[in-house]
Amino acid sequence: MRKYNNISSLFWLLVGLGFAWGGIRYGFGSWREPGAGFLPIVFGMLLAVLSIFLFMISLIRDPDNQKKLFWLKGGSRTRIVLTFLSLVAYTALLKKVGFIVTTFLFVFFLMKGISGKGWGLSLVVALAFSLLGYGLFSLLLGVLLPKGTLYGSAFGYLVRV
Amino acid sequence: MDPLLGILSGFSTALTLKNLFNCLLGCFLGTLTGILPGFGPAAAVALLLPMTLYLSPSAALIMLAGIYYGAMYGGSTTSILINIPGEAASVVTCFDGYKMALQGRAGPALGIAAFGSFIAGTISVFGLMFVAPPLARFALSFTSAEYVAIIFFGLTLLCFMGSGSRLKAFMMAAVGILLGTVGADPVLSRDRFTFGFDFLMDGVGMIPVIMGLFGIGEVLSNLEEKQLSPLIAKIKNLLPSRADWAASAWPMIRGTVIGFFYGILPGGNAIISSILSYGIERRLSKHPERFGTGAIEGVAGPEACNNATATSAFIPLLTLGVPTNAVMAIMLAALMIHDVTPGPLLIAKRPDVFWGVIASMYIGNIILLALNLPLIGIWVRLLRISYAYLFSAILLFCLIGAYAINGLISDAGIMVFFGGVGFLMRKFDYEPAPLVLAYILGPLFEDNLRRSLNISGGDFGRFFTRPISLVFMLMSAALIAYPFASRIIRRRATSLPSDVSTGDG
Repeated sequence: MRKYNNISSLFWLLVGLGFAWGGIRYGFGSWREPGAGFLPIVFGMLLAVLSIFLFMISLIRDPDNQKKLFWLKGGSRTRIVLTFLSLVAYTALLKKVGFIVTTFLFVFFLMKGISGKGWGLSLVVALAFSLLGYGLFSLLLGVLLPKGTLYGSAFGYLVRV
Repeated sequence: MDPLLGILSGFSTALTLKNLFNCLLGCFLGTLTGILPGFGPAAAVALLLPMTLYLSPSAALIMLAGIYYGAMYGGSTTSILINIPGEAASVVTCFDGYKMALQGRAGPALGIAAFGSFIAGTISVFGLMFVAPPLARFALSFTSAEYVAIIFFGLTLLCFMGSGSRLKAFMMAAVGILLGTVGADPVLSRDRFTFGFDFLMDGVGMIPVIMGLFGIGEVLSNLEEKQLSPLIAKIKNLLPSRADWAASAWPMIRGTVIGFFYGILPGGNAIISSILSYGIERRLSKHPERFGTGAIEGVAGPEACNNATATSAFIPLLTLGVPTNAVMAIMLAALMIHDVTPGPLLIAKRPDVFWGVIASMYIGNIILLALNLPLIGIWVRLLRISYAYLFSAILLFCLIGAYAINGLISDAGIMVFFGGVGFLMRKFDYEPAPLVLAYILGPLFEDNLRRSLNISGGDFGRFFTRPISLVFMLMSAALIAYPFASRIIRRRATSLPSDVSTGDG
């Protein structure tokens, strides 16, 4: 655990110092009239101090003797990384490609690539999710889903027809 | 308004066909999400929150309260049937509930859990009805100093009551407060930490952050694990026998009382109260050795307790505007989205919301009993659905839900980012609850702290001279000092005999 505590405490130390530095730029004000930077400075410094504490404590105590593994034994790390990347890709493509196509590709990837289902089943589920999602959110709840500037608009048009 | 008149007007709101449907849908979806192993009430409420965006404030809160209770109920089902608590507070239910299931008594265990939750929920709603209005009147005299002290105490208590490292919990609370400073400064309206991004002008979106940390983070964590164990328990005879009732009646009542008062405390959560109830029942039992081997009292007490806590947690939220746990923090976010400000004036200004929600809790308890007992077969079958479909649907729902809040893709992006953060936090053993609570309370804390210092001319003595804030400050100080004091006492106690022996030698 020590390694993870050390890494994370250094990260939070930087975050704390970053906020405190930003706070100084916004102005501390005075105790009587605290400025916009008051809270970021106080809590940024507090986070920095607590992070140093964590770093020191894990150096001294070393509870698990570095035995804890980041990834579970027998667990699938690629599944997580790929799922996370597919989420990033979804948000990146949604506006350009449109809801229906992006959702279809996203669900197809989750079914085929992540869960290892067959081609046919993955295609059917992906199509069902994208059409049902469109029906539920756009038609029933009135959410203005992106139609897409590329193929999405044509696909969306076909669906509406 | 008189509580009886209030509740009557509340029933007129809650019993409309639309709100009955909202309550039913909330209970159904909450149970559905709560059944999914790994998904607690916080994740359930966060995931389903976007569904309420298009409802009126009272209808939204009615549905959200239903989701919350439903998730609590659902969590008990998985604890009893597959020994995996659907939510943290149901961990205690695993101790005896699962053992009962292994002995072929899953039915009575599920039955007593449902009846215990129903009875405790109903009594607590009754308590809420009478405690909340006087507390709200009392809170009208609160100044910014009291709010600062209450929020500080709430955050301190939450950090101390978590299951992980207290130091890390305090760090997460500090991160939450800092995250809350992004966007316009509440006093001077000056932009902070926006880095020129328009979507950060109003701060980092509450709902995307919550959905990311709890929902996406949870899904990613679950994806790493192997397939969940299949259902082994068979269910028959859901109704507990007369002997079961006799053994469970007092534990239920005691659990309700403990849970109700514990839920009012800022930072009080259902995990600690249900452990407390289990411990008390074990101590009071004539046969404590039966606990852990399938004692029905060990299911009835904690189940009643965690539902009573869940209900009474609404008291500080609705009367003071101060959420006491992560779920209540999400509820606060939901109310704010609907332009409803919870606090001492809520009962006077929005009686439809306040009394409507309380009335719907009565109805929700009945609906949940009806959903959980006769429909148990459906929930059991749900446990067998492949995770491939479930996680795809959950991720898609999160993405569309985050986007639908303001029609902004940046919100979905923020959610994905915090999903990654939530996953890493779990890996590095950081709890998301203190971060979320501090993040939601941060702007309220900052506003009141700065105003208070303004009034006192920069004198922090103001927090220690007003009686209520003094009490909360002293309690916070006692909490912070407790681990250090107990360590010193323990060290002295262990060093004493060695001193004596040195003297003798």
